[in-house]
Amino acid sequence: MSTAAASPARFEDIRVGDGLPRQTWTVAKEDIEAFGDFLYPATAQNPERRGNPHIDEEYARQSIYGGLFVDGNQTVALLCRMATDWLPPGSLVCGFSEVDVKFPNPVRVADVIAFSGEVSAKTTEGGRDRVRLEVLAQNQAGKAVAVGAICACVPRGGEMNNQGA
Amino acid sequence: MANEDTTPVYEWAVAEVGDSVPPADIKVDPDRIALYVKTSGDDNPIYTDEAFARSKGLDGTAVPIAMAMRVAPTRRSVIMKEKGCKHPVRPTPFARWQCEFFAPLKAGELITSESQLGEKFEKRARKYVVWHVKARNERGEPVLEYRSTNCWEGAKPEDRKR
Repeated sequence: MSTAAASPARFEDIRVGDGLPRQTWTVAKEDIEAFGDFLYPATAQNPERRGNPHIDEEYARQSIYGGLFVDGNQTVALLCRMATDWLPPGSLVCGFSEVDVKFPNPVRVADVIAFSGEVSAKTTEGGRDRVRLEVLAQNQAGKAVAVGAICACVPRGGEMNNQGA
Repeated sequence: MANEDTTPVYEWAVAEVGDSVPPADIKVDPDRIALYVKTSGDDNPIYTDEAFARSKGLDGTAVPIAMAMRVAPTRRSVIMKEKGCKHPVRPTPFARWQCEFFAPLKAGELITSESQLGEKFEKRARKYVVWHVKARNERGEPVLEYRSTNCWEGAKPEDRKR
């Protein structure tokens, strides 16, 4: 992977092979619990909380994982953060984005996760400028915990970026 | 005598493509966005700082795309309940998330989503289910579609060591 490129201001500034600045996350139990409360609100009747291995610590301990582990949705959120922080503002949120991520291994408390990405393609189609990023999250042992691609539509200068087409 | 829960478990063999629930409406609540930013780690100021977002050319704060999972949830537990079943008492690992957006999410708008079991498949002695979710905004425009894959049966005990 190439070295990290400075955040591009425009589509024209992005080059295939550009590397995104790596980001890291040392996973705390509190991170997992807090995101669990966001995704599965603690209402009396919420059926998504009972026996949820991201919230119910005793249940998780007795499961095949032996303890709490990170919801893949949180890993997606952090991959999106890496892309959002680097791409021109509005790129992921203006509509027309695509995310495709697999989760080959679990993320556990105290893991140190490194997020990385690289531009693999640039296209202009139907009046839209698009960038494809290959993204990867690995734990401290070098095992992939998330791997896939994020495709973003990069707004052109002067567009009201988060208004859509 | 103790009451035993005789509710059938939504096992892979019971799950049928097309299992679904009626559409649900969920508002893109600014407070919920703030909670996402606080808890997820995805905390770019374009989501919360109006002046910063405008300085970057946006017309206001943006909604993170990963909010999709909250404003258009799979509601799989509800799907199982509609079928008269309960969730298996074991983790069903999240294997893949594929999401496509057709329009931006906007703070304050109402999102209507439809969820169903869209696919079942087997691979390397593991059995998977794929939940399909489609969401529209209050103008009826498609906003997003995603497929969320879970390993439903066959997650291995060695996963404890991975």
